[in-house]
Amino acid sequence: MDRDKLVVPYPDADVVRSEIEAIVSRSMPPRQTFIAYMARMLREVGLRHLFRDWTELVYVSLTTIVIVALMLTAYLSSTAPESSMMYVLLFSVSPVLYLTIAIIFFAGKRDQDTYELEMVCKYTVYQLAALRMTVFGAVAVAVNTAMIGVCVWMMPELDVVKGWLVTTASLTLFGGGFLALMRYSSSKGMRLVYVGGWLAVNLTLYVWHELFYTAVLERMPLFGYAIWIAAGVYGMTRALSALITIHHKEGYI
Amino acid sequence: MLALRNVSKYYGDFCALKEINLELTHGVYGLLAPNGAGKTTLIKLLVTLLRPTTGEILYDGQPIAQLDERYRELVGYLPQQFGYYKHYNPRQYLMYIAALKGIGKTAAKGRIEELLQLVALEGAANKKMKTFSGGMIQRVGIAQAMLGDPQLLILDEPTAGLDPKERVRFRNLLSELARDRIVILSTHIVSDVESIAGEIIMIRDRRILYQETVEALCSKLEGQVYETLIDYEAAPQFRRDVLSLSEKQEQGMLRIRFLSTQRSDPSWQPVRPQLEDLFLDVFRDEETGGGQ
Repeated sequence: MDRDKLVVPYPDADVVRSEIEAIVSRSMPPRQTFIAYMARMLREVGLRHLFRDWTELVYVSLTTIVIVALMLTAYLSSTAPESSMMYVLLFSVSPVLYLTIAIIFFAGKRDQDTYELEMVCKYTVYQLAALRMTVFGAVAVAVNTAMIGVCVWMMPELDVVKGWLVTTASLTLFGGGFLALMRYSSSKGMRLVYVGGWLAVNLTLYVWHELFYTAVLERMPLFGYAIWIAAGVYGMTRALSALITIHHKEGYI
Repeated sequence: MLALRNVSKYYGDFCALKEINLELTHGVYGLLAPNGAGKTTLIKLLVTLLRPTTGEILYDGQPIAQLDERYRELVGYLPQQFGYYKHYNPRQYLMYIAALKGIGKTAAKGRIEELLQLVALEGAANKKMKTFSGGMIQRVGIAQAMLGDPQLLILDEPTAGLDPKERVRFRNLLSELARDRIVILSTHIVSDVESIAGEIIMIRDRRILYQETVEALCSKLEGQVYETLIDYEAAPQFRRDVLSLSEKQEQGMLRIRFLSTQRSDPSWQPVRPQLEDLFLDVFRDEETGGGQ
């Protein structure tokens, strides 16, 4: 008995292309840029839920701003404030707000009962930390800009552009290093060591070779700062992107 | 469909789960094993808190590790130790979890009101959770797991702390939900899953021992479960001869339900085996107590 031959028509080029596109788009969804991802997360999570404890956040931020403002005012009110020394001060204290907040609000939640549940949500503790640090970074730049405005008002010989570049360069250098380190250990102890290390290195450089340190900060050309800031922002973005996609070999617990 | 292919989990030399192969489609799956058998490890692998040492877990044919947040969006999870913020009220807490799940504020508000009603907490929606009883906390946990219409609902010991009425309501709710999603219920309380689970997954010695329906499992003991009335004095010797499954006082004597491969006495009445009988038989030598 002759068997009926089953004829399967070969799909035309358009069908083949659309099938391939469907398979690729399903298995390889387009990668979002860092900014698009952060914007989506901010829209979906909202600032209200990004910081659960607003009272603590406002208290810590205001206290830090007041302490930094008092330090700068005290120096500017002294008998002979120098603009070169002012750059050193700005460089050292610019990341203080960021670092204070980073110590308290980063992500160290492994020890809490809520950690397991939060790690199974769409946005995990680490992704929230990345968004939080991005928002803090933006707030820190805004606060530093305001601080420069006040300093220039009190000391007109200070270069406003250079002042802003010094503070922003300092912030991006500190922030990039901090976030890179947090990939490996986000323990509170490690955060304290890093912050302490930052202040100690700055102080040591100043004490060890004041002239060299102040000269570097004062005489570095503006484009040098611009390159530094661009590199710092790139480093921070890379570190934050890594935090978003962080995967521990054994899992999260 | 959720599939586990040769999944093993080791901590150094210690093996927590060995060569697990499972396929789960819609319905309630009861994960049944004594404490320490590997239930919680399996659950944590399924919710991505742990990664398999070998093997892979696939959802609709794609590795869950690769799906990442697209997989987590589909998961509702109630851990054994349900963590919450004590100064939050249930409404605030559910709004917070909804935000982490990426659910829009408007959609979340409506769904939260529905869920609060579903778990009978609408009257306590504005009370701080630190004032709640264990059962109320557990109901908040169940509500948060159901946020976002998860396709995969994974509940680790969900009925702990619930009173009998709440347990029944919860079981009915799960049956309803399981019509079009996967519900995995981990427990060592047999009655929690016997009436609602489409399939029971039993784990012994870190491996899957059975993945079958309740009826199929019970039929394994067909003709081996009996009941009889005996004197209290005869009980110690009787227990040495057979495996006692349950005992209760009746007319000044002891009604004993037991397992025996042969009917040695005509007064023994054969009874229909239940899941608990099989559980007791399978795990008769297992140590109980202690988590993983």
